[in-house]
Amino acid sequence: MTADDRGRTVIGMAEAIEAVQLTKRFGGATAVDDLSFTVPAGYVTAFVGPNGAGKTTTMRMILGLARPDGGRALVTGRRYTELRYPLRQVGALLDAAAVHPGRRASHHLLWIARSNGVSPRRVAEVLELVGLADVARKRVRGFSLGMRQRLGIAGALLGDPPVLIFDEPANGLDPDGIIWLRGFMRSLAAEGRAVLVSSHLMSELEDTADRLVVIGRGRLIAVTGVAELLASASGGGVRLRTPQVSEVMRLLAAAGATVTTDGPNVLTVTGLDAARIAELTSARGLPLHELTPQRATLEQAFLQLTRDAVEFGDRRTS
Amino acid sequence: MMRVLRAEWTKLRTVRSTRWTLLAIIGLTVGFSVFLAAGSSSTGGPGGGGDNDIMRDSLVGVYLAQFAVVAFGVIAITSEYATRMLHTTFSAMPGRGRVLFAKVLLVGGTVLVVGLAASMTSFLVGQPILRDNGYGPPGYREWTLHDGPAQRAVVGSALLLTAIALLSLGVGAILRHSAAAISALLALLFVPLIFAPTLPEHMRELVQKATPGAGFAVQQTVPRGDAIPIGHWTGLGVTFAWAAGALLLALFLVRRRDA
Repeated sequence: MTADDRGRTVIGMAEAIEAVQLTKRFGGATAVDDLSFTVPAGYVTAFVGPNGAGKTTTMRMILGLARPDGGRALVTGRRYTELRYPLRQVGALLDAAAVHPGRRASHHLLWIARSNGVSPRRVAEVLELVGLADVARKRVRGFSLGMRQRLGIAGALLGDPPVLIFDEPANGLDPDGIIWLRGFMRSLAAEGRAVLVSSHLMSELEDTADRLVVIGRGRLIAVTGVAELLASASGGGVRLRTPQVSEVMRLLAAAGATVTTDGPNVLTVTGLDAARIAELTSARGLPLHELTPQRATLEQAFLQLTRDAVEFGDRRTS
Repeated sequence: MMRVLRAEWTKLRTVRSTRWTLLAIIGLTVGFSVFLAAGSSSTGGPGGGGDNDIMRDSLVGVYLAQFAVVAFGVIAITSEYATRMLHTTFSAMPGRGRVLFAKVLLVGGTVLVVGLAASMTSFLVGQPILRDNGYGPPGYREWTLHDGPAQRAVVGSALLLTAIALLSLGVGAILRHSAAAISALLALLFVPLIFAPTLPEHMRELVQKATPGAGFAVQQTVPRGDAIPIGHWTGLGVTFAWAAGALLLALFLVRRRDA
C-alpha cells in the first residue's frame, strides 16, 4: 500500500482501466488509432475530445460491446468479456436514452440486478441514491432525459463497482443536476473508485476531474493533470495597472517582454512572469496598482490542445 | 445461465406488450376457429359424409395466430435493438450466446404453453360447433382429446407456433429491425399459402414441403387435395429446421457484430 499525492491510501492493484494500443476502424475510417492510456483508482479521469474524436467507441471497446481491430482494453486487469460478474467490477452509463419506455424504472433496474446476481434490495437503494425513489414505479416513457441519465447512473451503481464509466453524463441534466453529478463523481472517487467520464465540453469537468485524457481524431493528444494543463496553457500573460504606463512599458520591453495596452493605465505583459515584473518595477520604484497573472481557463487550454485535431474544421460530427 | 434466464424473464414479464401479444395468440386461435366453424355447415346434411378435415377446421385459427406469434418472437429481440437497450444487456451479460439461448428458452416456452392453451380451447370449443353444423356421426368421426390424432393436432399446433416464434426470434436478431423482420416473416409464412395453389403441381408440392408452413401437416387427418403432401411430424420438423437455421445464423451474427 502506498499513499498518493493527496494523502489517500491506494491499495496496490492493477490500473482500474488499461487501454493498450486500442485501434478501431469503420470501413476505411480509423475511429480509434493506437490509443493507450490508464485510469487509476481514486481519481476522476476526464476523457475529453471534440465530438467524433472516438470517445464513445473507446468506451464501447472497454465494455466489450465493440471488438477492437487492434490492441486491447483491460478492466481491473482482465478483458471485460472475461469478467464473471461484470457489473460488480464496472458500472457504465453509455446511452441514457437506451431504456425500454414501457418498463417501470424499478423493473429496468431489477433485470439488470438479476443478470449479475445483485440483491433486488439494491434497486431501491440506488434509486434513492440518484433521487428517483419517488418515480420508481413509473414507466420510463414519462421520464425526461435528465431523469433517464439518473436512471442510467443508478444502473451503473447497482453492482457497487470499483470502476465507473460515464459517457457524456451531463447531457440533458439541468444545472442542479450537473452540480449534483459533479459532487457525486467526486464522492465516488473519494471512496477509492476509478471514474472515467467523457465530455466534449471541458468546462463541465473543470472542477470535477483530477486527470485528463485528451484525444482527437482517435489519437491520444495528452494525458495530463488538470492543474498541469492549466499551468502549461496560461499563455494569457500578466495584467497590470500603473499610473506610469510609459515608463513601465519601456522597462519591461527592454527586459524582453511583449507589452500591449489594454485601456488607460492597463497593460498586458507576455514573456515575463508576475514575480519578475514585480522585481523589475520595484527596483526602479515604479508603482503598481494591480498585478494579475491571466490564467487560461481549462476550456481555452483544451481548445489550444485540440485545435489541430478537430475533424472537418468547425463542422462537428457526432 | 440461471442469472441470464432470470434477467431475461424479468424483462419479458415487465412489459405490457408481452401480455397483449400472448392474449392475442389465444384470441386469434380460438376466435377465428370458432368464427369459421360457426359459419360452415356440412353439404352432406346432418351426419352425412364428406371429405372435410374437421380436425384441421377446428384449429384453423392457428393460421391467424401466427401474426401475434411473429410479433412476439420478433419484438423479444428487436425492441432491444430499437431502444439500444441491447448495449446494457450485453454489458451486463457479455456472453451473447447465452443471452440468445435464454431468449430461445423463454420465448419458446411461453409460446408453447400459451399455444397449447389456445389450440386445446380451440379444439374443445370448435368440435361441438362443427358437430352441431352437420359434421357429426355417422358421416364424420366424433373427435375427443382421448384420440391420438386429436392429441397430435392439438399439441402439434402448439409446437408449430413455438417453431414460428423461434424462427421469428432468429429473423429478428438477424435483421435487428421490427418492421423489416415482421415483413420478411409474413412474406415467408403467407406468400406460399396464397400463391402455391397457382403453381404447377410439382412446384406446388415443393413449396408446400419446403416452407415453414409445412408444419401445418401436423393438423391433418384427411388426405384431401389441398392437404400438405408431407408426414405429420416431418412437416413440423421442416418448420423447426427453419427456426434452427435462423437461430444459428443469428447466433453467428450476434456474436460477431459490434453491439
